[in-house]
Amino acid sequence: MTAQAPVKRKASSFAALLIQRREVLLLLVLVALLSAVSVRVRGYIPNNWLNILKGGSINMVMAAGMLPVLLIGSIDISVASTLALSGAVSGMLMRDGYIATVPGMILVGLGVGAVIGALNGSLMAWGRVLPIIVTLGMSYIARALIPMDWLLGLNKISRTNLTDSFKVFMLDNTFLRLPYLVWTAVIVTFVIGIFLRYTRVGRSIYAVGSNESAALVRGVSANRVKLLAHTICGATAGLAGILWLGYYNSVEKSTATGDEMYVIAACVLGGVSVTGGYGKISGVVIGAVLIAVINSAIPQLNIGNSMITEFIKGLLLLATILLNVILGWVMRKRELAQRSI
Amino acid sequence: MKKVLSVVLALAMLLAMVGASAVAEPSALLIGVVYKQSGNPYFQAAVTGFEKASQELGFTFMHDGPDDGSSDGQIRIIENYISQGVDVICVSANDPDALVGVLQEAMAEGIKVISWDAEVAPEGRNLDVQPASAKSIALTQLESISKSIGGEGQIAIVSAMATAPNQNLWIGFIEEALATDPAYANLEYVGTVYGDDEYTKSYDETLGLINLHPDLKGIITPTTAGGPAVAKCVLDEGKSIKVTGLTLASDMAEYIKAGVCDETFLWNPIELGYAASYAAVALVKGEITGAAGDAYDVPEIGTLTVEQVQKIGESGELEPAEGTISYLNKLNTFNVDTVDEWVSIL
Amino acid sequence: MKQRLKRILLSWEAMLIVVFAIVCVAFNQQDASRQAAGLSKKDVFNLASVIKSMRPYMLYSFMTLGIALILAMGDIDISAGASAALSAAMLGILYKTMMDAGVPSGLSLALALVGCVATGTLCGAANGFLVIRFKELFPMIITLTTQLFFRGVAFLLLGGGTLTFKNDKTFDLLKTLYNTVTIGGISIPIVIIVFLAFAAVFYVWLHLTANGRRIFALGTNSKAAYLSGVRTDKIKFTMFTICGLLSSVTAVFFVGATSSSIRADSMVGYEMYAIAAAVLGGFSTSGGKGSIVGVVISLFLFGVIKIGLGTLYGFADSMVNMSVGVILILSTLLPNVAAQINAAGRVRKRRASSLV
Repeated sequence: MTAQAPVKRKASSFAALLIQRREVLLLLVLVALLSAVSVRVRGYIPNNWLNILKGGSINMVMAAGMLPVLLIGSIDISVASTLALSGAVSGMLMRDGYIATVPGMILVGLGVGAVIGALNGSLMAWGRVLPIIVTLGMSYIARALIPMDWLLGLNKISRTNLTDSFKVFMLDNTFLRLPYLVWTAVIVTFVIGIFLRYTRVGRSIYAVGSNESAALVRGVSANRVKLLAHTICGATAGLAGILWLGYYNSVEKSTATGDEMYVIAACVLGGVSVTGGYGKISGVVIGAVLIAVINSAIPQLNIGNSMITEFIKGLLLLATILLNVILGWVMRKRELAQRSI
Repeated sequence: MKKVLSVVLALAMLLAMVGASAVAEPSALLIGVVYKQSGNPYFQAAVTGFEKASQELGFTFMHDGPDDGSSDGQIRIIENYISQGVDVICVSANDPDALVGVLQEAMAEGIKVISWDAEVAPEGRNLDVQPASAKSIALTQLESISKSIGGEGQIAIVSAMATAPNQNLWIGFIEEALATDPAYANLEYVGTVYGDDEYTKSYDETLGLINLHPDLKGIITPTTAGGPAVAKCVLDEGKSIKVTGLTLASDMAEYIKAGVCDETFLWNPIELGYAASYAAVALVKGEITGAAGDAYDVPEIGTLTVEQVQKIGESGELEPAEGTISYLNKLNTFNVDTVDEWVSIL
Repeated sequence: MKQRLKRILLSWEAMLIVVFAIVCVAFNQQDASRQAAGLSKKDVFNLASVIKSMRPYMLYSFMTLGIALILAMGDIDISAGASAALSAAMLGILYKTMMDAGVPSGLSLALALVGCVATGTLCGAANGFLVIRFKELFPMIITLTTQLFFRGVAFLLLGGGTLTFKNDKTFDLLKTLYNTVTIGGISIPIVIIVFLAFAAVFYVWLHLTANGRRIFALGTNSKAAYLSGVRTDKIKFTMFTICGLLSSVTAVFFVGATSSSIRADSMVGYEMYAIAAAVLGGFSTSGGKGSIVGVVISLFLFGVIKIGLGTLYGFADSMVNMSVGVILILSTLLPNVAAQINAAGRVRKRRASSLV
């Protein structure tokens, strides 16, 4: 028994690592997936690493904004509609000559998104409407508001509507070989990470998520925190609209339909608890990268039917999430067993 | 209770106000136009064709498409049109079979049904109006890509939904010509991928295609939604791949000028809507019945005849099939010289 | 007695009926003025035509009942649309396989229908199992992932194609589900009749039996319910299973509505319509309240509003969707605001009286 004990402890400490740092488990899944794809597609990583980063950036920005919302135990399923609305409004302003510069576009995008996010947050905080209802309703409203056919006779924003400086900004300008699109995602992630971890207000978000009434006792206004978290989420979704316009140079009414699920999925994969209180930005980053890898890899695997993508996405998501929970059980059992010895 | 009452009154006033603001023109003839999806520029252009005809012929029309491009969304719109007592329903179907039931009910109530752009199965329509025969559309694109890449090399197709009936028919003709026509003997067809008419999906699928086949020389993209995504992907990757297909001029002007595309094609959706309107009015007035051999005049386009549908049979030959169709047989070519004229229209 | 009458009059269902009546009166007015002005070709807004036009909006009614059960427990299921699509796919695949194997067509259809309902039930049971087995995960997350998974399986079975059975007399029987039957001179869609029968059964079960009341107890306070002897896990599993079953019923009617063409990407977003209708009907995502009567009224109310806005006011499909969003938010916001104002008033009164 005694001889086996060190081995056991070693194994359990590895399991402990997996549980306490969920990112590690996710990282393992990511490595496994990448190596599996690399075996089938020669030179997958060297040929595609940049595309994975580019393709994942928009989702990353929105997922980073979703993090504070999930941390307070709320949810926002209107982000994809917000993205499309922000892209359409800012694209329209550029087409009509009101904005010509990239910072202007980013400001408008952030503004449109923040307004929708703030509206979501206020309805939840002071109107006491449940998050899923508010944001479900808002997703319908924002998408119908996309000023397409009924407002200005506009069909869609395409390349011809955009200024040259904007078109080249996101993809063609690079710093350290990475296009500005990727850097935007890095900066947003970094800022939100720092904000949540090192500022008083950011930590109050964790506080509200863990225990709203306790937070209230400590003098944190739960309503204001809700408003703040949702405004951040809306603003990142608005920014994502500008990124979308910069990446694809086109926004139309159906843009990004259903993408909110992948945003939430990236967070959940990253170990963010939807009941609030727990979640780290590092996990969200790996979750978003994992989804980007799945999106990029499956068409190249050449598995006959491109329809299989959805199936594999669902399967991987389900498996990873369940694995996470099951490892938690194993870990706890071992801990209990060791304690009884 | 007072509060309830005040809410009720406020609501009533609100609705009454909305009620006063509806404006439309009275008319003898009412046409309901249904398209695949709202906000699609292609169908917006087609609507202007209906508009032009409505001024000339003096009918009223309504137009709508579902937000999500679904068949049940189209069914909802058609049912609304039926209850408003339209005389003709002109529909571009998301699925050829899904609408048959509700359209048969419409026909039972004396409503004429025309499918335009994307067909409804023959039992659910009186007449199908199409821009050009499937074979001529398919061969025009194949010929163009062959010319662009000098007659030899690998080519692929980036299509719309895997279920899209138009695209599948064209792909069938392209595959047939590749297999049988000696002029294309040096072209190697590596396959078709489906971008679902979504920008991102089309882009990703094209990227997958390029990485899978490093020697790819040409891509045909027979769908307006896929064109810009495919061309953008080729441009981003910096490959010397030529792209052709059915596209909007405004989407592709930049890529045509950048040399990614030598030429792209599209019929004129304005003319398509315009011709469908004339067919609709002729049907209601009893000038045509939708049977093969009928003919109707469309100003600026000419006399269009109604023909029996032809499909590729099991023997590989064209055989007469169920249903009637009339073709405009006009295809516009966009190249470096002509594309700017079309940018503001299509 | 007076108290009880007051409670009924001020209940959510009564409010819904009032709104329903106002909407109908206003739409009728609009219809009359349009006719008087010669703007419409026929009487658009009358009982007969509205009931008939209600068909497409009743397809998700069965799913709504299932979602309502889940909401009553304070959970949510966003995989319902996907499990319905998978059920429909299974219906087509089973029928095709059996016909190819030479099974008589009538038997094939019957077995395929059983398989379809079984598939939906299995999807629901899978959700239920995951929910009670993995308590660390929210039902929202579980059904988010199973949604992707179910639809993925449907795509795997059907590819991107449409499965149709042209000129197949037996399979065409499903189309009759979308037909109407004439009762007393009014053609009533079969889907409405079947739905009302379902709703009656669920009303009795949910509101008049102890089992049904346990569901609400679970939604109000699951710990208290568990400690007072309610087998919470068993109830949760059963409710998710029933929700899956009801989704497959929606699938059968959907196949009938779309002239037997079966696709993997059908019924996208139906779960959101269902959630909207259930919430307008008085159910809350935080659980513990709601009534089947409210759901029935809200389904019809949504239908009437969508029909009226489309036919009388010329709203495009997307604008109609927007109105759904506005109604959804207002229907939960207004009662909350009213309650807050009420509470504030009570506090003020108490303060005033304590001063005296």
